[in-house]
Amino acid sequence: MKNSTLGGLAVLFFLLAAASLSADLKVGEKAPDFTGVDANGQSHTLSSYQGKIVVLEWLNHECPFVQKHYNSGHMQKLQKTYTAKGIIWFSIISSAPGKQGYCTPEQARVLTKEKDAAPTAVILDPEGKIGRLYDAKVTPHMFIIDQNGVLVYNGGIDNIRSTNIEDIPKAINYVEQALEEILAGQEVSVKTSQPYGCTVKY
Amino acid sequence: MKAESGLFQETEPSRVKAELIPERLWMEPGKLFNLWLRLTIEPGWHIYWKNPGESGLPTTVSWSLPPGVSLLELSWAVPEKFVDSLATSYGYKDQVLILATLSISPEVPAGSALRLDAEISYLVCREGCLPGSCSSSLALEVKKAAAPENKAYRHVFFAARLKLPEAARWPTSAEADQEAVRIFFQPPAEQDLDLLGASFFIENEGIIDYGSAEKWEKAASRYVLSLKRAPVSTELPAVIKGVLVLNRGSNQGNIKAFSLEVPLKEIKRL
Repeated sequence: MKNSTLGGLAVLFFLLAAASLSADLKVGEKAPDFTGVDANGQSHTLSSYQGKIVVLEWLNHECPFVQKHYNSGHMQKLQKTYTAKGIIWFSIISSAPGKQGYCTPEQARVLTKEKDAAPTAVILDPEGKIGRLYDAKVTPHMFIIDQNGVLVYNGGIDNIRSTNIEDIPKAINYVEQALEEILAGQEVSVKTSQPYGCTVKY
Repeated sequence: MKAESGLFQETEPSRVKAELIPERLWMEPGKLFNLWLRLTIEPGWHIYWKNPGESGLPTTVSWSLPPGVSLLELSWAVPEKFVDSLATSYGYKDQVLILATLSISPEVPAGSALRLDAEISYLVCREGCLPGSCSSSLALEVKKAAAPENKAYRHVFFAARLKLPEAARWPTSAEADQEAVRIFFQPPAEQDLDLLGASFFIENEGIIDYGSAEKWEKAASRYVLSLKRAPVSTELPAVIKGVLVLNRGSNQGNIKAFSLEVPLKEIKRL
């Protein structure tokens, strides 16, 4: 009798703990919906891409961690490879006006061209609404949403925290790994990692 | 756009300057030698501790030392917390002194002058961040005689030593569940330590949620520090390391830092 009461209490404790966490963004649950306007003035709503895999990449071209992945051409390569496979890739700029990395639509278009970047769209989020909805902490902070609209990855681009281009070939790229697994119909093996980079300049 | 925009590396003049300062005027064969590394950081900018926290990069020191001279230990001063938009980081502003304990082999011939080099790599941040590096060299004589202290810097060393953590030699333990990491410790009463303004700097990366408040409790002579687990938690380490900063004698500002190395026990709940 005493034992079953304790068991009940333990279950109750667990439920309370789970409830208090559900306010946070959780991998394995529905990704929060958003609508954002891109550098060409086009509007994108996440839920309208249901049935497709969506990558969210937080971007600030003045950040040395972002430059590591763009100056090496590695980020552009990922964008080209996976958009060619039907994946939707949004680069999101959440820098506030006057803060590092902020872009007007025109500046964003110029930078995208200069860097030879190839995302589906560069979404401008100067008020930081999408960034805060996803609790994007750094650039590049990466998220992957699967065909069912479920968040399946939240974390860094890879496992070597540095600004050194030479580390890219040595690193495990978690985004590439997760996308390959989803495309192969497998479960994502690494669902979270500590994102590294510059703080998002909200 | 700012002047530094688009730059991948910091350009001259660098925002961080390095200076090697010997604690004694020469090195003695077969003895330990204290060599201080002073980093002076441009006002308004900061660099990072060995665990940078949620943003930034660890500052690293790479040494070029002559044969017979080896680095035994590098002691980092207590860092401070930087809260930048969403991220809490650990680092230094203005100036920091790091102590290198060198071991001088008895084989090192007296009468020679040896060159010691340190190259420091860092990420320096204000609103934006720049990776950079700086270096310092020193030529020091080796003599078989008691080395006098470097008196000109006596006050500098005294102040720097107060900021170095000393190993905590009292009972500690730590446990973690899905919610939190809890560290239990029991400093001896004669230390007269107080929790007012206490803080903890964890050395392990990716375990705790840096932005959440540290929860301190005192029950009898035992202290409990609770740290919220990171939402994207990596595997737990076998040992939790960090620096604990406590007040001494209830006088605000009179702080004492201790380094902790505590085996971590994982508690699995339902």
